[in-house]
Amino acid sequence: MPKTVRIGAIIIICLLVVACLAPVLTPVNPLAVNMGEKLQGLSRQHPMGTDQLGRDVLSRVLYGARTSMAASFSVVIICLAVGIAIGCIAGFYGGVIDELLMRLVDIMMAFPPFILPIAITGILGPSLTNIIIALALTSWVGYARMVRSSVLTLKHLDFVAAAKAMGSSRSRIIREHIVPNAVHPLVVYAAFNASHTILAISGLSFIGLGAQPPTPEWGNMLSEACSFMGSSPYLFIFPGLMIMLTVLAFNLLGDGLRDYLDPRLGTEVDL
Amino acid sequence: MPEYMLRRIMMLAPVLLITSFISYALICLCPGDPARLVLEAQLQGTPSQAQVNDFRADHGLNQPLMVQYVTWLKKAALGDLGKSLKSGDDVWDDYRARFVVSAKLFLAGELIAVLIALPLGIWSAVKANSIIDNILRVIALGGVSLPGFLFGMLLIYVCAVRLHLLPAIGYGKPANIVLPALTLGITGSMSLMRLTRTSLLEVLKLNYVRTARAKGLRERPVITRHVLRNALVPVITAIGMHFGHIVGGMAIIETLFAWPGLGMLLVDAASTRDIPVIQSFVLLGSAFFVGINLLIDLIYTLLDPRISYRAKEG
Repeated sequence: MPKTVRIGAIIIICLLVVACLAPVLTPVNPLAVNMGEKLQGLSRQHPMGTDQLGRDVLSRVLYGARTSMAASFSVVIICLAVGIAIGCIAGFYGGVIDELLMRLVDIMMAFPPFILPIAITGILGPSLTNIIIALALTSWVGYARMVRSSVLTLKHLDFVAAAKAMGSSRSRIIREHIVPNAVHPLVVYAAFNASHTILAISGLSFIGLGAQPPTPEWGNMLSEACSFMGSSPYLFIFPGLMIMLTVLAFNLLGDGLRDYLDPRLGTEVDL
Repeated sequence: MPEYMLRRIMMLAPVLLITSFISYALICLCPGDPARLVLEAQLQGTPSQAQVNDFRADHGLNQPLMVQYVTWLKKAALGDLGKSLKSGDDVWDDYRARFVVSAKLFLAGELIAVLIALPLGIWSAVKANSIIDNILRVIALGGVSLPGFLFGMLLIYVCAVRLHLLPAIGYGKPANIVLPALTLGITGSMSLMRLTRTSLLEVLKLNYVRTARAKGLRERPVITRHVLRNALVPVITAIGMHFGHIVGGMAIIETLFAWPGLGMLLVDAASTRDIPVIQSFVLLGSAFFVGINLLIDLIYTLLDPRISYRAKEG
């Protein structure tokens, strides 16, 4: 397994641990306002300083991992479920159902990136939940396409024919033979999608359409830090580093897995 | 090829019709009564039932969705996209004016991206696995993981807050475009650089390149005359796809730099639930995007005559 996969996986596991154990790792409440200690630089008591309301930045950064991880994993899991279901139905049944579902996919792809999520959250109202809904509504399409094309290749293979001959039902064939074999490209796609989702969630929160204050969220913290850039640059450095680290981890994982699971041919086949 | 193109163009009409319906139907997502929500926002208080009824009648909201949609589409086809609930401006006029503003920023950013990505990507591929290649790859990997708005903040911090070299935000003066364009260009160049490198490496493996070298060509003409022609096709496609970013794709950067383009229009509309603006935006955005994609396909077939869509479709 390539080194990149390992590094990516380790960072993601660490982030998940931080997300789960945030209350243990920091005793400070990320929402506790203390105007007496506002905008203090780095100190032993507040290793990452305090923000404009005197809240501890370290604890907000740690709790922010919770928000980001939970939100991006929700989007990826919803998309996986919907994408696998729709991709399998379209690929396996074919015909009119396939045609209809794939036209739906084409229609979803006719919207430029970012517009639909912003429009949907605009109408639903800005909140973290609505961002998750908006991103899930627009990201399942890629998964469905990918699953469908795997199913189309797989369903003509001998082991599927053998399963059919032995009298397996369609749903059993899909569950036991098609899905496990379609997993590889899907995992790679999901890793990249997770990194995109984290960027999207933090970006949309940054412009005020995602997680609302006082929720500790990295994009949110960055947008609050904008006003204090001159006096307290540390306010945007730490949440910024966390976003970058998380996105990098998923990109490393995706890159590495892609190379590992799908090694390209070394040279063109001889004529 | 013409047959394929004809089919693509014929598909435009149904696709646009359905996207227009989705654009309008977004209003159904509205939690609660849209008329009441809009009035609450406008009046900063609870509207009376009479006001709500008047608003519904004025905007045709008391009719069935299909009727509302058809009326809206008929007007839209004549260039009347309604008025912004917030500012009262004509949506179509506003959209056109801001399109130019966004296009300026996009072109400046994309130019920077291409100027960085192409030479470095080619260099990286030609010197594959050398020290310089490894350095560039690490930079590119870090770069694609760096969110644009974060890089923008860093640029503002260094260039505007610390060094006072350039204005951080705003629009109008020529100096205003520098920071947002650099942000878009540098962050955008990273994925383009990776694409150039992989694409070049794939072509370098092919037999015809070996032939070109075997017949005694020096490395430079092999790269410039033989490899680049084929390797740059996916890169040009990617650059073409980026044009879709004009219509809202730069929303976060535009908001950060207070650049009054389309992205900022959409974000403003989204944060004030300005429903007519959001609907029209999605409609026009998808029309533009679909058009751009068709154009890219056309260019693609011209650039690479080997592509036979009939085989792909069959």
